[in-house]
Amino acid sequence: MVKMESQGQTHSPIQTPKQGNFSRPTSGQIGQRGRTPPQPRLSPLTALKKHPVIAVLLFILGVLAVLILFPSEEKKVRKQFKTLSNVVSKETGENVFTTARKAQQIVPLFDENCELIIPADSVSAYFSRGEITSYVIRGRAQFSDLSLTFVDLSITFPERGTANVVLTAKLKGKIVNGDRMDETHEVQSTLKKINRKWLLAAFEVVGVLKK
Amino acid sequence: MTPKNRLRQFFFPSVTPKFLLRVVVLSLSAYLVFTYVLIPIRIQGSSMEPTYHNGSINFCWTLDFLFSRPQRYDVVAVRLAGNRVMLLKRIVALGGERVEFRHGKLFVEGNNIEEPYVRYPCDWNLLPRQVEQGSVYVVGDNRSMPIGDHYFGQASIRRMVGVPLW
Repeated sequence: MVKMESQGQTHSPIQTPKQGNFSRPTSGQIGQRGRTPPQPRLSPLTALKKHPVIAVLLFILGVLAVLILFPSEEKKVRKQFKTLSNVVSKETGENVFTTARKAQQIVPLFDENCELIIPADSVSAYFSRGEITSYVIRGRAQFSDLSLTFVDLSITFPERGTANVVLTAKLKGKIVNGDRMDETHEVQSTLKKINRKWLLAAFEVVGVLKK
Repeated sequence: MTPKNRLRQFFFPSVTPKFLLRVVVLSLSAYLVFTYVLIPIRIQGSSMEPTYHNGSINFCWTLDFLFSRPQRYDVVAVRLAGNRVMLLKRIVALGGERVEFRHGKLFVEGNNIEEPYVRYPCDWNLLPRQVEQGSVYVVGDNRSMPIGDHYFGQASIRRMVGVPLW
C-alpha cells in the first residue's frame, strides 16, 4: 500500500502518470481536491420527502396493486355477473367456436342446483347446471344478436358464504325472424361461495308493476 | 387589466390554490346535483307518447316528493333496482282506490276519469282492482297497443324517484 503524506505539502499529492511518479490515491484523498465531493446517501423516507410527486405516484400505484391483487368479495361477485353478461351476449355472425367456448363458460358460473323464479310466467323451479346451460344455448340460438347487461348492482352479505344481489337486468336483441326484443327487469339473486368461487344459486324476477 | 388580458385570464386562468379550490367545489356540487337532485334521463320507448317522445332528453327532479305525496295525473319516474334505469309513467289512481278500464276509458271508484293526455285510440278492458295502500297505479299515455304489450300496474310509493323537469 502506498502511503502519502499530505501535511505541509503545497501541491496536490495526486499525480498524473505523465509526471512519472504516479501512485494511486488513498480512499481518504478521493474527492478532497479537484473532484465533486460525494453526495451523502439519502434514506428512502428523506428521498420521498424531497420528491412528493413521486411519493404520491408510488402511493397510488401501491393502492392499485393491492386492489388488483386482492379484490374484495364484492368485486368478485360483480365479476361473476360481468362474466355472465359476456357469455350470454352474442354478436352478429358469431362463429361456432365462440358459441362452444361460451357454452363451456356458462357451466362454472352456476351452483349445482339453481332456483329460478319468474312470477309473471308462473315459473318457480330448480334447474341443474346442465339444464341451465342448454336453456341458455337454446335461448341464444333464437337471436342473431343479443346483449345482456346488469346495472345498479346492490350487494349485501347476510351471512358468511352468501351474497344477495339486487340488480337491473337489461336484455336487448334481435330475434332471427327480424323482431326486436328490449326488456328490463329488476332481479334478486343469491350467490353461494363454494370452493372459493361465488356461484349463482337463485334468480328471482321482481314484478315492479303489478297489474 | 386590459380587456384582452382579462379575456386571456378568463379562458386560461393561472393555476392558483384559489382556482383549484373553485374547480374542486364546482365539480363536487355538479356531481351531487346531477346524481341526487336533477338526474339526467334519456327517454327510451314510446309508452309515454305523445307527451314524451322516444329519444328525448330530460331531468328527473327528485325533490318534488320531499314535502308532498304523489298525486293523480303526476308523471313519475319509477325506479327498478337503482336510478340508472327507471320507468316513466303517469299516476291514474291512488292507494285504496278501485281502478278499471272499460272500452279504453279509465274508471276510478266507478267514475269515468277524463284523460286529455291520451291522444291515441284505446280499446283496453281491465277488470276492477283495488290499489294497495302505500302504492299508486301507473299507466303510460300511449295505449294504442294491446293491453298485454303495455307495462303498467301498481307500484310502491317508495319506488317513486321524482318527476320529469318539463
